[in-house]
Amino acid sequence: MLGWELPPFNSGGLGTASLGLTEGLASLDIGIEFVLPKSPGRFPFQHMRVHSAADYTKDGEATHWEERYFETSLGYGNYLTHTADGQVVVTPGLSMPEDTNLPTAEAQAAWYAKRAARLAATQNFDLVHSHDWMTYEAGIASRTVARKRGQDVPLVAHVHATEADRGGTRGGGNRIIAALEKRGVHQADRVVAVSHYTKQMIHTEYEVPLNKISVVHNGIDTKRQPEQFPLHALKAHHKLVLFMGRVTLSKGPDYFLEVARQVCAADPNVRFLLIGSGDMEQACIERAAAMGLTGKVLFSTFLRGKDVEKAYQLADLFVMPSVSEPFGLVVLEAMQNGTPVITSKQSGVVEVSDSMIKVDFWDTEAMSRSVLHVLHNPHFTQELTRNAKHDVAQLSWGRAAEKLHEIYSELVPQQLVLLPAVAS
Amino acid sequence: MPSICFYFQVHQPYRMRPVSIFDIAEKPEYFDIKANREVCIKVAQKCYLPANALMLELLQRYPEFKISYSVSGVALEQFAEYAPEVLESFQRLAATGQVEFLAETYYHSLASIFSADEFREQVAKHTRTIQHYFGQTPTTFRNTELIYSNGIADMVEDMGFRAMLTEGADRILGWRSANFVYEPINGRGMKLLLKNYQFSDDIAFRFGSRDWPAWPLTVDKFASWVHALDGNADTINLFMDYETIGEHQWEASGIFDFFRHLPEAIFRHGQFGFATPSEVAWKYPTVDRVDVPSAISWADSERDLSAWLGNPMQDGSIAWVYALGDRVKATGDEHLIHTWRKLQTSDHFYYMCTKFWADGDVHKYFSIYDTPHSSYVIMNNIMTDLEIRLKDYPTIQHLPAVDPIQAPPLRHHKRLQAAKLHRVNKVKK
Repeated sequence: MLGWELPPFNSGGLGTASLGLTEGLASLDIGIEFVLPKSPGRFPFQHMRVHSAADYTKDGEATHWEERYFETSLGYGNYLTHTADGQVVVTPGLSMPEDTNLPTAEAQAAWYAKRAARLAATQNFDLVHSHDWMTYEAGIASRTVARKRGQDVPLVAHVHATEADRGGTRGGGNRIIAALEKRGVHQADRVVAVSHYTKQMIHTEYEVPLNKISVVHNGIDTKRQPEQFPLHALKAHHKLVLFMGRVTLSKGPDYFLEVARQVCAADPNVRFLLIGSGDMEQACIERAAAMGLTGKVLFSTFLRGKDVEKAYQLADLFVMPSVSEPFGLVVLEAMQNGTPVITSKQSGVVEVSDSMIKVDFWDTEAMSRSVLHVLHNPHFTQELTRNAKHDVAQLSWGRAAEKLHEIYSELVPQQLVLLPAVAS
Repeated sequence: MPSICFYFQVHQPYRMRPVSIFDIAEKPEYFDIKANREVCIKVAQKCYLPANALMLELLQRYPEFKISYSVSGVALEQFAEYAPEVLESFQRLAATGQVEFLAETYYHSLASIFSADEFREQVAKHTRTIQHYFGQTPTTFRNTELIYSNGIADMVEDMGFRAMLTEGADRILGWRSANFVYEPINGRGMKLLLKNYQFSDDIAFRFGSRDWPAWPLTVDKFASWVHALDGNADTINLFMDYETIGEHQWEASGIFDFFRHLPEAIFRHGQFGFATPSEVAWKYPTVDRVDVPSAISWADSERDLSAWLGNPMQDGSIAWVYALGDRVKATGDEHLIHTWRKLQTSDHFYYMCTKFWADGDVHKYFSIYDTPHSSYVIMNNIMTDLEIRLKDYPTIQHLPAVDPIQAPPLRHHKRLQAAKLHRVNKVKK
């Protein structure tokens, strides 16, 4: 299985999903060799082995951008480094280190593919599973290695997001990445989408036949109970509405600000929390000030670990106004923390639960009305969160893994062992 | 008999602690005690202590050498707490009788733009502080960052000051020279001293710059420029941050040697001497009036208020700070009022400046925050907390604010009138 990041060294939902799925698969007795471009530290996992493709760099092949690149790009603009004992150090930098020699997306993919192929040559496996565009070239290369050995190994391309989602518009985003993505989903023997919404997107964007795309919704760790934090003193003074995620076009932070403007005009006691980092962070801060929302919208760079749950519990309402959201794991996290949710209809998560308010991302008036409704009707809100907790309990990674297992079985009819232990 | 008039600005803000969303309402400390102490001690070692030692040496060697300082109240407070030896060294300078201490707003604030009452209260508090530490009653005023307008001049003259400093901006002078004494357009006798920005900035900004054609600036070269003004100048006003000596211009640039040999070089021409601002105001006649309808300052290339005000982050925050004024004062809680006033210090808004040209670098140099945006975010969190803190006080406290630091302007005025100007520099024991 070829991935990009894993918790705790992750910056987004991709790492969380990768871990959740592998845990689910492992419980179905599937062996997993998990490959990262460059392992940033030691992982405490029992259920799989984690390989670092960078270890398969030949002498004299190291490129100057390599170290720096993985530190920065993994963090989506945050500077991720790690100490000798493996602790992640996050510098929530608005400013990426300026390196004019940063490699293109193609060069990154090729870099990963070259090393993944060398790694694959040392392994014996029945199936290759690639998570998102950065790993597709590596997946294709690994499959080629197996084919040369005479093994017919299928490739699964797991689409957690498309470039059209990330770019915020249809046909938008980086064209080089879109091209890599297209090649990946076409080369793959099966495409897995995180939602029907994404399935449709892959079909229309990349002309992949619908019958080649299977949907496996994301899940959440249902056994884990979020730590309960004492009621924060701030809650006694203000109603708090939370945005948490990457502050970038596709996540709709600008719509959040527009909602803040409308809601604050109706209820001056509400405060909006915009938490996260990203390329629109400064623009959003300036825009909030320009909209006269100084003091109404409070900001924080992105949070990690316990602070994430603290933020969910601090808030009276979580809003995900994404312009295009393949799934939206944060919604399940908010639900698990007992926070009511308003989400845009342009997301995958709306397919798995009805215990949230669903509004078009562009309809800020409806969204503002919903915010006020949730904040002012405690009975309605209580019922919403109670139902949401019930729904979340059904959405385990185990269930997602079972679906994946079915797909694997179709592709590899014989006794399936995915990437079993190292070959001689 | 032209005079060189030195005024050095000494200021250190209370930098804010990075208060996060989670800190709000949890009784956070607003100011970064550790960072403030560290900066204070660092600048003391690089600038204040060695520069004060040098000045003391010069003042003792040349009885005709005169200089002036404006030290903000928040800087004095921090010296008293973090670097008492700095305060003592300034007191030794005051004891020479050749050093004048100017008045300013205690909090180095922009109150003159936002609230006349607040402005007067802060000036009165600063005056009392200068009396306390240095045994002088200031008769010359310098506003934060030399901010000046006709309206501000009016308020300052009402408070009884006899002279005021500001920038010798081309915009207000036109063809006229900054090297003479002026008065406000509607003045009633208060004198105006205008900064000679050419010579001041030669020392403050260009001294160590190798790209500057005049580099290296030797004492002889500078003295010859000054002496060339003989017959064309009454006063050459050299106004600059004190931190120029040793902090902005490092010791290796030769800045200390420059000052060490400057008096001697200036005195080489028998017509030239040194004077403090109030001596300049006393000695020379006014040559003309200047009209400044909209505010000027000494900052950046614009010489206006755009370093502190103008972008929505700055405007939104400062409007919020001043909007809380009445409620904060109504609490009668001295500590709370002091805290709120420390948030008025102009530096907080300077850090939020997003002007993207060369000046931005200067702003960045002085800021402990990554970006203008993070200081805005921090101030938002602090102000949200301050608002919540205000809720702890009874709401119906509409009694007239019993401000312990308020000094009635009238009495202040009389006291100043009574003081003889030439006695200003005499030290009261």
